[in-house]
Amino acid sequence: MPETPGASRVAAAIACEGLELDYGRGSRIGPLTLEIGAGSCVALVGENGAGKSSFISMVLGLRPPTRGSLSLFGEHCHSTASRRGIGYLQESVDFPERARAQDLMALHSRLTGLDRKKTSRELEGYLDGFGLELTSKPTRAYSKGMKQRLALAIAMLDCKRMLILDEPNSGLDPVGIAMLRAKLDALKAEGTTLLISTHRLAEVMHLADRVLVLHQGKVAGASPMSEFHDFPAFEKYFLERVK
Amino acid sequence: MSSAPVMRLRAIILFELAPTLKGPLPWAALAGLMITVIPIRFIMVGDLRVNGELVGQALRLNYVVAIGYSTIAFLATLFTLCFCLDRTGPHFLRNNDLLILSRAVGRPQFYLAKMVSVLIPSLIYESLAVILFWEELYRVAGVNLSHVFILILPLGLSMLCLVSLYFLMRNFLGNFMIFFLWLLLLPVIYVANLWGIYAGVLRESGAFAQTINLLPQFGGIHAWSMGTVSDFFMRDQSWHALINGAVWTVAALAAGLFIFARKRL
Repeated sequence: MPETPGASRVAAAIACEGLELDYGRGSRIGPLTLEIGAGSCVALVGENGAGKSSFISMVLGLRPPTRGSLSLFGEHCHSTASRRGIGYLQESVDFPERARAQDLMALHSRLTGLDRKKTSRELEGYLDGFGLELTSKPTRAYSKGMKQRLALAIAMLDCKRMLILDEPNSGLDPVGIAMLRAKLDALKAEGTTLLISTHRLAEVMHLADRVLVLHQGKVAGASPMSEFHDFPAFEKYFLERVK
Repeated sequence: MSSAPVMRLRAIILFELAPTLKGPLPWAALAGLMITVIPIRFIMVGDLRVNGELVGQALRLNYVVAIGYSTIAFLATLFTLCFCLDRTGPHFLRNNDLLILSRAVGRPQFYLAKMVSVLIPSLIYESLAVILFWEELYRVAGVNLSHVFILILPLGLSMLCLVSLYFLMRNFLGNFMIFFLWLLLLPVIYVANLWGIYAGVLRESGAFAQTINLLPQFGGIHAWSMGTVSDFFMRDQSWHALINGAVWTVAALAAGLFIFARKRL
């Protein structure tokens, strides 16, 4: 199976072969055949409509692939168990208007099987780590940046195995971006697999081990980040692949 | 089912129920219950004359049952539709719902949890309405009509059928489209069923009558329910509506789960 350079064949976090998703009317993603090794940090880049979010949806089991196989840490993606320990941040973040941060945290804590009492005790400190306060304000009163911080807090509640982020910097101020960078560095050091889909090439250049370029639903390029000695070289590589 | 899936299911139901308790809907629903006591106060208190003739208590009780139960059924249906509208609103299968589904939660469990979060407040509301109706009748007129508690069961079946169909339709249609479709369709089904059972019209063959009889017979369930309270309303064939309602419920649930499990989110 072709793999993204540097990916481990021993324990692939994501392994797909001939993966396709038909939208009808001739529009499709794939076929995608790739491996993302456990513990690696991969930047998923591409133009708008390249298929990045669709690929992530298939990985998360939100969209069943039309054809091909997809496994997460050796388990078939159809099994709900394969998605345990995987955190996810959506591209477009919005929550039920009347829900408060603690309601959402309580829900996702229970869904991830975390100890409720322990979570309640540590909730304030945990949210503080994301620059959020425990208030009675519903999420409709949150700014876009606060919603993004809350979504990051929810995504990182249980990401022991993998964290998938779709445009993680969206709406964050410079302090928030620095906070996110520190959290991702820490997760990377702990061996969590990171898959970051973004349009902002500069922000993933120093974090990612390798880059995966999607273009018109297919892998247009895969390369270790160490091959690019500076940002212009990385940008040139990307632009050449999506021409 | 092991404890972890049950815990997850309970977490989703609790989360989904919270806005129902917090928002304006429960207050509007509770205020609506006032309507159920009005006919009791007007009909059961003092002398009631029709064409100059005094109406006896037995007949008055029939009026009260017909008007009272119809009011309860109307309010319960309206608020159940509102609960459905709220739970499957703009956030349905977006954002937080997708986060939930990405967290090792199976689609059938999610679908059923959403439905249960509508059915629980709906059943509580129906029960409250029936209890209030019984209490007012007992307090105002001294009539202990304990049979009215049976109404909770057929009304619950009607609501289960309605919610199953609503969620099934939500796989294809927008929320407001379904809401208004039901608002338009329900009175037709109700009236046609009731006329069919009580007035004998629309029972004969004919495309319209046959089509109406194939649809969920909410009006028929209504007629059977009233028959359990008073023999005056009992009709031999009205129990067929219960079978019809149960079949529609099972079919809508099965189809809804099947389609939702394959739906492209």
